[in-house]
Amino acid sequence: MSGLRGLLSVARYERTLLMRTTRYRVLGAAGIGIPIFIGVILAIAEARGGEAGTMFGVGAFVPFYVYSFLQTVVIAFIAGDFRAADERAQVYEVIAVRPLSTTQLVVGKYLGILQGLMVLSFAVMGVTVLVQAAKLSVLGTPFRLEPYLGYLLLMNLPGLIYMTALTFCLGAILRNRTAAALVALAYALGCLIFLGERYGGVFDYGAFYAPLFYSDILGFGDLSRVIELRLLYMALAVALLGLAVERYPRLAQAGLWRWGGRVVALAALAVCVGIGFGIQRSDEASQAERVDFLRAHVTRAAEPIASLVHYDMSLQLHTEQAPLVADVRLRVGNTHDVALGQVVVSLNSGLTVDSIADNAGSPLDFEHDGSVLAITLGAPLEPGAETQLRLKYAGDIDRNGFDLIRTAPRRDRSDGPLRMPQLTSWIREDTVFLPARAGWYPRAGVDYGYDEPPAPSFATANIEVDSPADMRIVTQGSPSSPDSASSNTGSRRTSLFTVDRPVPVFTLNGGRYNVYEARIGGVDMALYLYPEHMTAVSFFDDAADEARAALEQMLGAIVRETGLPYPYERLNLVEVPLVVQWYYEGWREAGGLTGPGVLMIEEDVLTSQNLQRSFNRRQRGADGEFDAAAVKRDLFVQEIFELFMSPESERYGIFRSPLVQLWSYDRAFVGDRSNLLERAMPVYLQQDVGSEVRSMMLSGGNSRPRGREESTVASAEMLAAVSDSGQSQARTGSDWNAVLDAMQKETFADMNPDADPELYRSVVDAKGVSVFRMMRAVTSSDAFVNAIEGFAEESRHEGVDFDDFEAAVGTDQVTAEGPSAAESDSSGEPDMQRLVQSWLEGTAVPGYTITRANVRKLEDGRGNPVHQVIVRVRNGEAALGFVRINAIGFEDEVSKGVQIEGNSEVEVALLIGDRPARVTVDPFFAKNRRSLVAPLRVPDFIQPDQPAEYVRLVTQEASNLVEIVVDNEDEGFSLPTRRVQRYLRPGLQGGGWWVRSTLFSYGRYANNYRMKNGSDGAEPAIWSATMPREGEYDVAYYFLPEATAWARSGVWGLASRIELTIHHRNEVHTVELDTTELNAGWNLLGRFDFEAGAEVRVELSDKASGRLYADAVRWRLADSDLVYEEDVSPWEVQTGSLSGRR
Amino acid sequence: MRIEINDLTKRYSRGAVPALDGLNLSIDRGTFGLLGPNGAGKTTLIRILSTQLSPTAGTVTIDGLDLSRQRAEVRSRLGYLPQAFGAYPSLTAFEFLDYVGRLAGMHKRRARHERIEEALEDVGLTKVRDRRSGTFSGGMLRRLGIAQAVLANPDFLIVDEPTVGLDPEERLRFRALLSRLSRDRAILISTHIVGDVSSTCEEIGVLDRGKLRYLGAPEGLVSVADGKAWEVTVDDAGFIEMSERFHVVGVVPDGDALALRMVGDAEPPAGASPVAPNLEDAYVYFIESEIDGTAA
Repeated sequence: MSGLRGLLSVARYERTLLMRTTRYRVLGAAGIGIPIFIGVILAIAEARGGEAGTMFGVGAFVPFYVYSFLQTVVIAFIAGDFRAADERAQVYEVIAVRPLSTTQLVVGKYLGILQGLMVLSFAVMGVTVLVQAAKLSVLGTPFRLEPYLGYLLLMNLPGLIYMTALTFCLGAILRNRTAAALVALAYALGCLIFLGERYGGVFDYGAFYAPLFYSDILGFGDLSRVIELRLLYMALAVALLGLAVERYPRLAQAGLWRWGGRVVALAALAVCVGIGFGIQRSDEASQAERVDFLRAHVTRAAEPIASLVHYDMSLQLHTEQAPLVADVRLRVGNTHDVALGQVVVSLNSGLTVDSIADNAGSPLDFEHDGSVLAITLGAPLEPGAETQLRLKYAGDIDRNGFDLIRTAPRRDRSDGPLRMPQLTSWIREDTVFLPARAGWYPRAGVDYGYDEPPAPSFATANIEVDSPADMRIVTQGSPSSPDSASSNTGSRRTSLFTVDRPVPVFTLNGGRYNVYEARIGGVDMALYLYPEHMTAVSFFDDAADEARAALEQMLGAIVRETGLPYPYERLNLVEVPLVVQWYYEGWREAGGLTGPGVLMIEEDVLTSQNLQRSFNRRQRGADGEFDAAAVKRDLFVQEIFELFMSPESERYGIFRSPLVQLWSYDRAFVGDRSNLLERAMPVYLQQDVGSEVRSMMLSGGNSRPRGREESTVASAEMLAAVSDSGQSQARTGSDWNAVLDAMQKETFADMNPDADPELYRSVVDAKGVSVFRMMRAVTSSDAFVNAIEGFAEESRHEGVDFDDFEAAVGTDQVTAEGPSAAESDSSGEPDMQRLVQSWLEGTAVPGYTITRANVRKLEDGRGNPVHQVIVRVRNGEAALGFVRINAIGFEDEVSKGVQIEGNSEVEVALLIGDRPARVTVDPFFAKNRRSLVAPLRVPDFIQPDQPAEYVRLVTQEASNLVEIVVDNEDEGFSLPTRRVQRYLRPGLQGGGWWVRSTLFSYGRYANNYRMKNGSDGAEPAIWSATMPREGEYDVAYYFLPEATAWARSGVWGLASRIELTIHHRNEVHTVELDTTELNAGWNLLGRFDFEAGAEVRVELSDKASGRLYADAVRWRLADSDLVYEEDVSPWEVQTGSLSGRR
Repeated sequence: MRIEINDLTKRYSRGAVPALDGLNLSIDRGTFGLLGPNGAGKTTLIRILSTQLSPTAGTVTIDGLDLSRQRAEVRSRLGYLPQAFGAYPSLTAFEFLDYVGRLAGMHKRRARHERIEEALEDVGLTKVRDRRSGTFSGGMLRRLGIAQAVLANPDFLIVDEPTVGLDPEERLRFRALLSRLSRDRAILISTHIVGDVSSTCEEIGVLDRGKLRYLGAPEGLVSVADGKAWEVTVDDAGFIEMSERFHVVGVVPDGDALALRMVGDAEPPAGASPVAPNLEDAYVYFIESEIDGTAA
């Protein structure tokens, strides 16, 4: 007892001493400041309409994460100090002669430091709680303490306990304070930066990478593995402390303390090893089990699949007997030419089949091998015949029993201790989450092993669910009858659903939801919302009619624009726990949270929308009359679009798009190019149709004619989605350059989807979406929508391949829209079949330049002026190309789709009555990332000529474009570098010129560039070229589009003046440019005379005060007819309003 | 209270010259002064007695408790003021003593606090009890050191070089304090400042090269130098000559000449006058003679 008192005395004073140090106070200030700072940042982000995460544990998670991170790093300096501090203060000898053991001293000091740091942790938690509680009370959202305690216990304290012990141990072994601190620091940073997510998270001592986002619906979910690992680290801490005592030689100690300490340390080490082995064995066992399950699937893959055409399911959820008790009657059909002796279905391995009986109630033999159930029929099922089976099974979902194949990147993220699929499905007392793939009901065939995935079965169903009384059930179909759909008997409730329209999959959700129902546009819509998240709905209470009208209008617009009517009677929007989506990644799993008639929404999505604040902002900004309901309606529409129909690069993309439902659940996609229909079509619908409906809704509901084709600008959005933006990269995995490389190396057919699924997905998007856009441009919007409509109707519940779709669109019959081709030669007329063939099967990608754009003012024969816009577009690549050329006036616009052969140039004449301002060229599938633009100058006089539209091939002779562009990646670009600098700083490629790439680039020039800080002029950037022809050339310097904004705003320290020298005919001409005046893109340096064959160059001097950019220089043979300005600033495109990009 | 040291030997490594070589000593209640030149083995002896070091051979018992085997018990009866004493600068005098008291096993709060107040009173630090020790002067820190050493009322107090760095006034106060404390406990003062022991110790031991060369009353040591101490006034050349023949204990300038106090066996020079030796004269005579091999 007295020994313990001594220990606690040491602890007490060690804590006091620690708390009086400057380091501790600094850490404390940082710790207290972090939650306040983050709270303020989150509040600002929310006030600005950002999605900062108001609810749940996010507000707790972020401050704790940052503080815990900081703390474990700082411990290295605090804890490593204890011996040195005593010696420095010359008190060591005083302590050493006291009746105190080494164990008491070391453990006491350890506990003292731990107490001091825990005081800070509690303080940080307290402040975080106060900040969050205050914020939530303002927002009227309930506050929960659990996440805060969770983070303290799971993340903060175990990390603290472990790192302090480690530092003590290092101090005792190394006997050098600095060395111990550095080793501890290196270890902490190594774990946090490099090892944290690897090896299943076993190095994640502070649970920094564990999925610990708190959910209001589910809490933290299954924490068993996280807790196991925390225990392991705490046991390790005890063992390390034991080692520290053992290695701390100064104090002799009594046998009891010595041996007691050793025994405890060894026991802790044994516990630690035990837990480690346990984790490893459990992982190995589950991996082996999964391999075994997979084998069962593969073994059965060759067997013919019986069609499951109707289910009568009677389900009991969360009973005393088991989490799920099911009695399922299956109507099974044989669509094959041979009789079936067995019916093979998939059923989760955690469900135990009690009995299977046939029509007559006779028991049937069956084998449930992993998640494959093979039922031997009493009599073979003849071709075309149907029979009925009755299955009774019960149990819980084995989360190891499905999702058996994972791609390498996904495996890295989702396998291992911390990434076990605990949130992929579950049945709990308060909530049920059963996506189809969990195998909670018998599904036709197996999941893996097919050479070519078979078409899914489409089935109808009657579903009866007996659940705890407060649980609301969501599945496919409608409640059987509105009045008697649910009946409550005491503590249980029975819900009935009828699925009349066949669906390929069934999902089942349950929870203590509030339900909001409304019939809109002929569809029963229901929102299942967690009671604490009602603010998002109650906000619209006083604008319910407007919101309903907006929804109705939107559904109508979607149907009109897609040609796809909403197929089901009911659309359920169901909140599911946060982070569920982590486990449904990859495009093949995109539908993991979407089922027929059901869209699952993560709980943070609705609640994180700060509607009231947006509303208040608009109210403050209103001049005069303010229509609150209309503003709420607008907010509603905006929210709906952001949530459900945003492009895939933004937020959640097609993960919860109702468009996927329209297209994907009513048919099956087969054949080699099935991905084009399965993946690219929903993406196309989402991006193009979605954006059209969005602009229509947000511009006041004025529907524009389809011919406008507002958003089908090249592959702009889609390509933007796969460009270098960090967000889109996270979503798609591949950047545009990688996609372009891949497309040019392999044909689509040759690509192996499994080799790099993300890259493959990006290629599907790039090619497929372009093809659909091109089809639409060629056939006209109406024809294309009609084709989809007809195809969708005919292919309902059938397997379709891309050839069927091509036939439906009629690729071989269409001609270009616009005036008759009679006046033109045939070169520009699109041959859709060839284009599809070329883009899908080829490896070349077209690329375009406007080589000429001018206007003639003519008279139309009736005395009216008409403008003939003549545009030349060159396809500089070998691939067959297709572009849409638009002459844009102030009021009017005319367009024409034109096909351009590889390495050739076409001249297109368009007639427009309105005074044309510019011409744009929309590439559909190209190396160009955005539309090309050229301004037009209209002459004042009318020329005496007949107006005519035409498309003709420009012969090589007629093409007078002589243009040389040297980009920073081209051979002609050089950076003379001083040798010594290269030696000293090998990381610098080309001396002080760093390579940078840009997020918003398009065209080849701005992809990447060189950047340097101004210095003494010794390291210029030089562009060199050989002139092919004598004459006057316009020399232009490409200025990074982003840099124009930086230059004007003064941020990033851009050089305000730059100097370029042009070498021509043995003369040197110097041009000084004011960067604040530069255009985004090409900037003319002047017109200079060059000899044929002359070696010419342009130098950008690095003698400047500020940052310099070197990208591309162009020499273009001067032509008085031509005015070029083809690369519009992407900033203009980015900031264009939704309703009018141009 | 009796400390028995029998055949105590300490070698820091095998084959090395022993730092203590078969030392036998017993100390009873009162103040025992341990004198010796640098390297004599004082610090080694102190470290062994304060349980920080284990002997190579021999035994030490304190009131019958074997120091090697009953270390914890010995420590609970021991007070120790190391030569390089410091306190945590961020703790007040009271807090520091409270910490030390807890470590010494004084777990009853009230009793401990009363004892702390007494100790602070004894060393004259009551007024600064709540000041952080980082602001203390050397003398105050030394007093705090003695307060912590006597806090638990030890039976045996070891004080290592207690007056080093103190000004004369502090030194006198400190000696008086030690004298007061010696009334009811045994105190071992290890020092090379003879004045520390001459004024406070009933018994002294002179340690040299690991062996006890003298043990007895200070007067006994003084008598060794009877008739061997002289005073003489010389010029510079005379000083050099006297330094070769005698051990010069003191030099005082006297105009152009130097007044020397010296001890030695040689024939005194003309003009030298005999003086009664003090302990310092005797210690110097004794130690230097030991080194020369001429000691009595």
